[in-house]
Amino acid sequence: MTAAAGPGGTSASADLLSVTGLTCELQTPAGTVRPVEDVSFVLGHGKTLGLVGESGAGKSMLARALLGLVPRNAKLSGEVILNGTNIVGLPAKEHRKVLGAGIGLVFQDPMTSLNPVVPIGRQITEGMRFHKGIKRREARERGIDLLQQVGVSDPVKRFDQYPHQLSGGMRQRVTIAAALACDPRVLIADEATTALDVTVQKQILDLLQSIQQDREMGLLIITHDLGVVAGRTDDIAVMYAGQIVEKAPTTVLFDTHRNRYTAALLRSMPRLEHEPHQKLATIPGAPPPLNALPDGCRFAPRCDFAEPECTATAPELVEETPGHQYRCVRPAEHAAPREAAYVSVSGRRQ
Amino acid sequence: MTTRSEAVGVPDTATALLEVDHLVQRYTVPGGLLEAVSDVSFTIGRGATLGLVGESGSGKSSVGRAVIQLPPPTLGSVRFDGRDLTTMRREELRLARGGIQMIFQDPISALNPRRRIRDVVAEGPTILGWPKDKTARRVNEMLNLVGLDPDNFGDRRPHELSGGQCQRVAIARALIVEPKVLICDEPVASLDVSVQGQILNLLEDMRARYGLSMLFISHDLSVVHVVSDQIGVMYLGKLVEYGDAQVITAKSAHPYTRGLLESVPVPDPRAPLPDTKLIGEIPSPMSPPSGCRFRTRCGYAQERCATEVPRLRAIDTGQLVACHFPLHGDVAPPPDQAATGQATTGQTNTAQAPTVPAQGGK
Repeated sequence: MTAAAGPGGTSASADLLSVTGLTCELQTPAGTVRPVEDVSFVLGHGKTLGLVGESGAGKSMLARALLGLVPRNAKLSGEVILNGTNIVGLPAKEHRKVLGAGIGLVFQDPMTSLNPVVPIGRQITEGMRFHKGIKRREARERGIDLLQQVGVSDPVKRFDQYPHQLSGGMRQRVTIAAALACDPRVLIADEATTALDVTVQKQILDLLQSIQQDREMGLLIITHDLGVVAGRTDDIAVMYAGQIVEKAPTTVLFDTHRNRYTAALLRSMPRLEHEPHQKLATIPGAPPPLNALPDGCRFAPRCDFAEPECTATAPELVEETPGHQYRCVRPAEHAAPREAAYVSVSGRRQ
Repeated sequence: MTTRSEAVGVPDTATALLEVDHLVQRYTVPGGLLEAVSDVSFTIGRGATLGLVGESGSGKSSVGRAVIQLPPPTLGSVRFDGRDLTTMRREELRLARGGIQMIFQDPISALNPRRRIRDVVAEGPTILGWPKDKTARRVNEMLNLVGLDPDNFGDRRPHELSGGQCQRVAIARALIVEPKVLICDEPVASLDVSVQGQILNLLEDMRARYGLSMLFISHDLSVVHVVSDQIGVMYLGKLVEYGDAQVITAKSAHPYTRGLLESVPVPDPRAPLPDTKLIGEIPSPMSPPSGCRFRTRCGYAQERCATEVPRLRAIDTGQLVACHFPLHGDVAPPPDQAATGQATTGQTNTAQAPTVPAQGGK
């Protein structure tokens, strides 16, 4: 998985999910906003893509846009091609057919994504009975089998239990089982481990990875934590204020990222190598509200390297090497030692 | 990465400010008695930070709450500045509590949604009966100090602020009464990585400025590691490892600590994903396993672990470990030490203290 320094997921013939120019436009009382703007990426069979960004970057809206689960007043444009079918603008009935069996989604909070008054078994098998017309008895067998696959102990007993009888980690395993029920080709994990303890987080990530490899699925891991996707993805896309600001094979992104936001995000992570009481590098301020985006580069107001030219024109995505794209007027240089010049240590606050 | 440790006050662990001794916290719950904290002892020196780590259900939050007597612990003592909080009368406790403040995980729900930020921060001084003009002046000072412009934010309400801003307000509210101890219960768990760093740095600034002692509770060892002088690792109500922060993270000896460390996601694509031996999830505290409570998830458990409760004891790298078969250090404790392991906890901590200022000044 980590040896993705090559042309990760760029072979056009093997594309499982191909997203081109996806934009989601919302009418709000504060004006028209685009939580997702001109997003393009490709996810190949058996590949894993990490999507990283802060709250409000548009990550979850992107996941919802892929599934067409957007608010009623939202307007989607662009292309989402799943196994050769463009699902943007498809009539609701067909949309449901293509998606229900094609993409599985695991949400952040298993407590709210499971229905508290329905036994978990019924929630897992709901999809396969609806989409595949599987009869109750067979669905039960398959459901128990799925619970086993996701590491739920005593699956026969668990099948008839309610969500509140399970721990947080077990509930998340159940939602994964439900997402897998229709043998999707793509699994989206939207902050699926954020609410869990680190220990359980690791178990769930390991589980997602092994399932993905067994089933040759495409896996999209959405997270705010670069640590979560570091060793587990082929490619990583970084999102900021609705746009993809950098996209590269995982090792390339960590080693030779060019976008300043990617760099700042990487530096701000607390690490075990830090000395006690060491000041952490931070990103000052907060992401801009979508209805009041700054001129030019959207990250410029928080960027330590911003120059007048950054606020003058919005940077376009440029391709550095095949598979590595970024937006930045003053990109980071990577002469060794990497980024030694950066000394901003929390001096600025909003 | 630049350190600014020289700006940070050197913690003085030689004089204990908070001494928690044989703390036991039991709750009555439907279905019986739940022992959330079982015999936990530690001391925090002036200006020092103790990090408490463990999974949900390990009892770390219960320890934090027992310290401020919310509710008072079932057994054991909490000595703050030499006085036992558990035996105080109500009025006495009310005044003493001003010296210990707390901030919580979810900053938005920790603030009264109907009050203005200014009034939220002024709550402590109002209760303490400060004159109005002094309160107003100090509120402005505190808001400035935590990085919020009082003219801009003072009259807003919590829902108009982001999570990080709310946490800043919570810190201002806690520190305006100039406490000596700040208990932080998962203060950054619900924040974005970038904001997390801002809040951790702010806490660090405040610690240095006021010479605060902190009890820092978190499930994330990478966070605890950057703020703590000492770290205590909890599992099912018990301390399983305790010692200097750097020793715990670099030379952990308890299999549980090792498992926690291996679970921390490392932002390095070349770092191998550790094949951790930590299996399953934390069992219910209603019926903890016999012997060593961790044995059901431990990759190294042997027969003895099921029958004999391991005592906290010192090993060669300096920390205290409650394990029959620590990953390094001595393997079999001398029988007399095994019997008195718990009782010597407090002493051993004090004996370790001199190494800590050296770290802080680095």
